[in-house]
Amino acid sequence: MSHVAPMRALDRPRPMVSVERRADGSLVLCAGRTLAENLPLMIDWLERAALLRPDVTFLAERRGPARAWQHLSYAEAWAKTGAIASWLIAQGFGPGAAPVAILSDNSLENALFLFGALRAGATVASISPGYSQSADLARLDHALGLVEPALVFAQDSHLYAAALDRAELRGARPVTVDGKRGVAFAALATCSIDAAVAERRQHITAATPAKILLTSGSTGAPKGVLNTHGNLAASAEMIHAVGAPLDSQHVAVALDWLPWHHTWGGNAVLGSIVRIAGSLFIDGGRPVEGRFQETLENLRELSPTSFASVPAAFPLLLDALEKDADLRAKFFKNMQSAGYGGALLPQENLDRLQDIAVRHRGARLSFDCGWGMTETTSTGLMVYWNVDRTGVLGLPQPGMLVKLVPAGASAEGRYELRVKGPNVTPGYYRDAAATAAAFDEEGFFRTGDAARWVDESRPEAGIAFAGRLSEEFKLASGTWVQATTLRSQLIDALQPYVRDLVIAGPDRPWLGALVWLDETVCREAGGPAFRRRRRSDGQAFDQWPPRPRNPDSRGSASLRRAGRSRSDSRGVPTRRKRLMQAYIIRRVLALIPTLIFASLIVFITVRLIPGDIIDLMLSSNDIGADKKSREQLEAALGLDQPVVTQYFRWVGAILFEGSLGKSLWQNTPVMEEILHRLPITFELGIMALVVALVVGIPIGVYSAVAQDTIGDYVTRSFAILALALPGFWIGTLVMVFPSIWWGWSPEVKFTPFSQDPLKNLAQMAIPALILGKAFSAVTMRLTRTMMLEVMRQDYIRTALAKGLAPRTTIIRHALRNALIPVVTLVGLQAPVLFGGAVIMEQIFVIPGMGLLLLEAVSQRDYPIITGVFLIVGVAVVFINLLVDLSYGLLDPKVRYR
Amino acid sequence: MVAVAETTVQPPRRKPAGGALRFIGRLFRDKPLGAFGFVICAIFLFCGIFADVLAPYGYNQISPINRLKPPSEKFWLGTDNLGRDMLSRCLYGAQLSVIIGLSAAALATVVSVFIGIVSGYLGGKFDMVMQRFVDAWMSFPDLIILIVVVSVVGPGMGPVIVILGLLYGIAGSRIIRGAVLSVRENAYVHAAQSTGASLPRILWRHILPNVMAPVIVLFTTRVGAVILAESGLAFLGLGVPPPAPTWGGMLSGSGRSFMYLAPWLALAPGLCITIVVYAINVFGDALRDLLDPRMRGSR
Repeated sequence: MSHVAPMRALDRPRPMVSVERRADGSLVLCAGRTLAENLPLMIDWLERAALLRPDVTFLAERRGPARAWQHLSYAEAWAKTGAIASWLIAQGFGPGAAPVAILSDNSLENALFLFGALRAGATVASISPGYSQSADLARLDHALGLVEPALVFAQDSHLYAAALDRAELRGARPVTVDGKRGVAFAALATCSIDAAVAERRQHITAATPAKILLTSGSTGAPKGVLNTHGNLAASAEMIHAVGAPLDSQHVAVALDWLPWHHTWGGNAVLGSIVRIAGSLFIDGGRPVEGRFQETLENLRELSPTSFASVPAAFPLLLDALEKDADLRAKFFKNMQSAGYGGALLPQENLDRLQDIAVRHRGARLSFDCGWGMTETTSTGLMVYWNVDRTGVLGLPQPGMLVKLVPAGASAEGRYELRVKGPNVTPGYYRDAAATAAAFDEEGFFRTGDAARWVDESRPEAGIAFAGRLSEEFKLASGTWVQATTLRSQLIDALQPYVRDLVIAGPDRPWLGALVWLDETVCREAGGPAFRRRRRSDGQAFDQWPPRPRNPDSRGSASLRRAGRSRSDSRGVPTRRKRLMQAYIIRRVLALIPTLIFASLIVFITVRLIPGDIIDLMLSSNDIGADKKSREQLEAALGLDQPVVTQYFRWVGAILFEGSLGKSLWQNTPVMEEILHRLPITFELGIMALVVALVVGIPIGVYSAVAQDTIGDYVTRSFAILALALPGFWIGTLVMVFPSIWWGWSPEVKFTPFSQDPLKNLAQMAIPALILGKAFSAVTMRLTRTMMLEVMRQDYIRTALAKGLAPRTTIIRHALRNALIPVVTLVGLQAPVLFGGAVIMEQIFVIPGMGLLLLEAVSQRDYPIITGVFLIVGVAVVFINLLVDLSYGLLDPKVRYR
Repeated sequence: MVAVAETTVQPPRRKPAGGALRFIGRLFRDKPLGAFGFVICAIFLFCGIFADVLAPYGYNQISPINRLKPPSEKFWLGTDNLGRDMLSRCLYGAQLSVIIGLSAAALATVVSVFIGIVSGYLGGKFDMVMQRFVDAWMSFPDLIILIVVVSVVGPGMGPVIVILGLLYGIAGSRIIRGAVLSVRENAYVHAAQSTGASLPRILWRHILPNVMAPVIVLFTTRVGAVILAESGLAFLGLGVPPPAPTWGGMLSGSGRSFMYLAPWLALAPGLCITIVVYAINVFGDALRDLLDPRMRGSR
């Protein structure tokens, strides 16, 4: 061991354990001491603190623009929780009534509401704020459905607007601190305290349910773990029993960010503080790069007596401590112990911390750790002596029974960990089946964790963690990884290049995998590593990246590669390729019914709608009416045939002759006319598309990045405005006003692209701008929504956490993923563009499909009307096909199934 | 303790009367922009209903002496080439837009609800065929269907309402169908099925009330879409024929050539359309956020 410096002697109980060895090989461990019966409850400890230390800070939180600490004293907390309890009791909350829920993050009001509800005897479900802020709210929905709260607490009605909507739909009343939604928190906190609160205390026992905490939800949907008042009391007492004795002169100061919806933050940290009447400063910092600075500033300012966080915080803390002497001095000034939890701390971090401690104050820091889970209401095992390695779970705390059951014959010395004690949950909320499965025949809770002795011959050295029985593990950040599921998903995603892989990386900040590649397939794909190896095999060597060579060096890389894949009979199409081909075929086949329906719609619309075309033509004295008789007209339109024959003739002519009939007016083939006009409309559409993307995407990104700022509101309002502005009005204004003011008006004589490309583009620019206006608004809105969603993803947090510049993260990681759905928008907007093009072509006299249609309508030239109608529909169908197919190419996550 | 027993928590209750008022209160509190839209919509509705009372002149009251007069105290928005008061025409235009907007949107909603509920609830082959039909229908641009159908049946208020109603009704059925799919699997529906409730009863009593939120939102947004489409059609000269004072129609046709002399002709009707459609859209967005969070971000 590198540390030769002494540990400070600890003023703590000596490690004690008694081991009962049973005949079946299992062991039962218990602490040398027991826990008192009839412990005071948490609400009693809060009362005692208010009596003995009325002016001591219970909680403090940075508030306001100056980020000054706002303190809440124990006396104040007792008074306000009494008011809240009175209100809740008056509203009918209490033991047996509907639970209340807390949706938002740690805050002074959150704690007041929690303890107020506990004093009223109501069950409080603390739900992860993350659930309320995820895009689909599916987990929140699940949680609300499970708990069925009648009252939900949220700090901010805007931030939690969507979550409160959901809760309200389920019949819950909101309580918000800003008071903009539901009941104002102030109304609860200022309610007059009545005798019912003191009376209610008589009805709250150790068995009264206190909290519902949701498990991580790594396996299926989250379960609600019930913690009774007795659980909370026992857990706080057990931590206290193995800690240093209380010093009545000294107030413990803790700085902690851990969220209270989690058992560590909500029970171990908050519970312990109340138990010892200490002060908890709510840390706004987080153990990720960029947000840890606040934690460091807080440490510097407060010099707390203890520090605990997830392993991910330690590298950040150690880097700062090593660099900054002032911080070091402040950090160690009052520090009595440090601790970690949530996942295993890498040994290297502990060693580094002790190095600093030894250099700074000549002694190692005592380092707390323990083992616990939501079901044990904080810790069940604790290391309460000095250790110099991580991964030790400790020994059972007083009152705790631990059963070690040998885990399989092959796993020598590995035991399954089962626990029993006053801190262990009575079961899962409304889930009798899961409760029954969780406890063994003796009433021990099956934790699913494995353990082994640190030193079999010395039980008092404790037991150490030996992995999960199932294959799940946590990263250093505390994130659960389901190895089995992940493995199969990864293999799937990496097809066909990978044969097998093994997931690695518990307790590290990253996830690793050991991968066996499929060499043949990888060679096909032509990665650099394989090329180099082929050279050593004496085979062909392609340069990477491939460079153009002069034509006479005949073995050009691309040529040879192409030749091989064509001639090589073993070059079986890869799995993804095969799936993609199958997908394309299916997608194209699915077009058939759509196209049949489209042709029917066209046919029926034009021919079968009440009102006779011929009558219309004759009555309006249009073309043909004076020259042709009714019979001639009918024959020309094919209307003299039975309807079914008409349809099949029409479809047959299109399919086999590519003919849409002839124009009544010009007598030219309709198809020819349409093919002549189609490129013009396409040009207009593509230019509008470019406008939409060039304008919409950057503004959408800006709006998402600057969410809820004035800029965001302004751009969003403009987007809705752009949707409301009719294109024909803007077009009209552009025609009228510049002409009045400057005597300028847009060119109305159309110049084809082939004649003068620049002039043509200049002419098309204004209609394209107007046509793209609404589309750019839609693009902007979608880009914004998608960016907001993507920015919440783990990989963005990872990119930011590893120190990537926000700008790079936004462009390289967020935008690229956010833009994928924007592609579908092109398909959805294609009909809108075609429709808008009609109006633009009319205003700016552009001879495209739209103008052709309008001319045909005014001349009642039905073959042309039918033709344009059909071709536009078919064009949209094919644009959508292309969009769907390109979607698959752009997004590797799309499965061709 | 007695007092406590009397005020136990109510089970989740339906809000009958007073619900609308409370909802409007929430709208003003949480969605100021939506509330603004709501107020504009109310004003628009008021103008439409009381156009006859509010308008200082008739919509087709020709007065050759007052041709192309700029906005003045007498004619707030000026007059057109026939000396008709633009303000009166815009007010009567609001009336037409209210009639067409509400009735076409109502028809569209009924069609959407009917197709959506039947297709979503029955599922199977019927749903599959119906969905392919809706796919095909939605590949045709709205305006082009409108133009083609009007070219066949001739222009007029009735046809325009029916076509717009069918057009948006078929397209909107997707949203209702989606909502029905999620409602269909609820336990109360299975319970109704197992007690032998008839199909119309299940659809009417169990499915429909539970998709009302998207239905209301759909209706609201459709009013805006219909008004925009109708004015586009009128602009192309294919809407309700003159002398009916449609906003879109006022921007097109013979008035077009006089705009160079009297630019106010180009401003008032366009502003009317923009403001009303904008108001309906922001109100619809707010309504959607409040009533049906699942549709958030959709359009």
